[in-house]
Amino acid sequence: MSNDRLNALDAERRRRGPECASDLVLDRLALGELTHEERPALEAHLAVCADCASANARLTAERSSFAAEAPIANLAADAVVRSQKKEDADWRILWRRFFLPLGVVAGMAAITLWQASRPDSRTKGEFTLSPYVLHPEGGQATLHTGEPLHPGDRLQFRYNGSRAGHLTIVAVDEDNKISVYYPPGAIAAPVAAGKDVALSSAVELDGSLGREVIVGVRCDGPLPVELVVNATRKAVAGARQKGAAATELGALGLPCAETRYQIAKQARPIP
Amino acid sequence: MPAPTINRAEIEELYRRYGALVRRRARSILGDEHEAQDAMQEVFVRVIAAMSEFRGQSQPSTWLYRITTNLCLNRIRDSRRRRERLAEAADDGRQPMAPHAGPTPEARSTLRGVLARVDDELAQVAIFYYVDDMDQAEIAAVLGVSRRTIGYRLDRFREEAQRVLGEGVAVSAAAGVPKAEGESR
Repeated sequence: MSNDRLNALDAERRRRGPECASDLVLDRLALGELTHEERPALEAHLAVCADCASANARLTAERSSFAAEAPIANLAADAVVRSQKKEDADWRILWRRFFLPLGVVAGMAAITLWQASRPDSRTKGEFTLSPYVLHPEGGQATLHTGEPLHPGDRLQFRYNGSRAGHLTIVAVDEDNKISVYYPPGAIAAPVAAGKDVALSSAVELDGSLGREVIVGVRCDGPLPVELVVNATRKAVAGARQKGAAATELGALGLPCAETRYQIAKQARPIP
Repeated sequence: MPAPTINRAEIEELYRRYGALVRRRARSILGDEHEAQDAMQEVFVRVIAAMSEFRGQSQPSTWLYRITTNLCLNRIRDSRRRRERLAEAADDGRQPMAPHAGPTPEARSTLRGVLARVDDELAQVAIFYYVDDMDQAEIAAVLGVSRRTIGYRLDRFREEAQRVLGEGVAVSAAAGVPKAEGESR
């Protein structure tokens, strides 16, 4: 049985003559990597070998298709983000091995104190958002834990993070509705590293009531907002499939840092 | 650790020049478009991290073939471990994930199942031989070893494959397809 299957593998190999080219050689031809001796020999062979000419045409078509259809800017941006994450991970390994044993107690204490000062802001990846409210009757105030919001309130955020990046903020309510809170444009807006960095625009809350989860997404590249929305939609669908509320969505799965903030919207009390 | 000295425009140019090659190669080995796309990204992350080495290559495409092959082999092994965990879950009475949809040619599934269980250097040679249909001399040139070494490794691969297949390892259901449909010629 095992011999039969091995023989089948051998039988699947392409039968070709000694002058026939592999895909690698055809790639090298297209990329100008063949020597002055290799190139004319291969071109002459392609003129007489239908099999190799067909393979070459297939590779050429795939290259054209990739150049025309692949979202190269996005792919490059994603690769840069992954690369930086990998670099960070490498640093983290160094820290774990050499520095963490010394700093772990102090670090844990600092993190505990820091998070205690920001109740209800769950961080996932090195940044937080501090919301504050612009009330229609005038004035602005920091949004405190459990403090209800009302339709018509304008919500604005401050960014706290040690890294600059490009920020998108979306919100998901209990009816599975996804809204973009920031930025107003189609591409994630740049944000500087720092403490309480004010974002440039506010969002006015609509008339829907109930709980909402606000998801901040900071990427190293200018990700299209639509990608964040699509990832959020997918995460909401995942939560719903598990029987959870839309506001309990999991991680978006983007190569970015995320943070969450829960708010509750209530009807405005009648004065 | 120094930051890679490469700008976005340069990366985009690398994608234009080599993206199709890397994606096609990953698809040939992994047999799945989505996996191939992700593997392509992983390859370019590797390129960015090793930019000076990449720039020094006289044959960047050969270098990319090797890198892509190795990364895809890692993925095949990871996939095998995942399947084994799922099998354990099934033993516990939980439901395993549905097998990969669509028909998978027996020989291709066989190869992928074996690749997940043999040494890297044997698996690498087997991919160049069975997936790329390269001859031994070409594989030797790509890997920078002698043709004799390639012949020896292929013999060892066959022995290992016989052993693995003789153990009755299930390799057909979720193993995937080492060569994408329509790519054989």
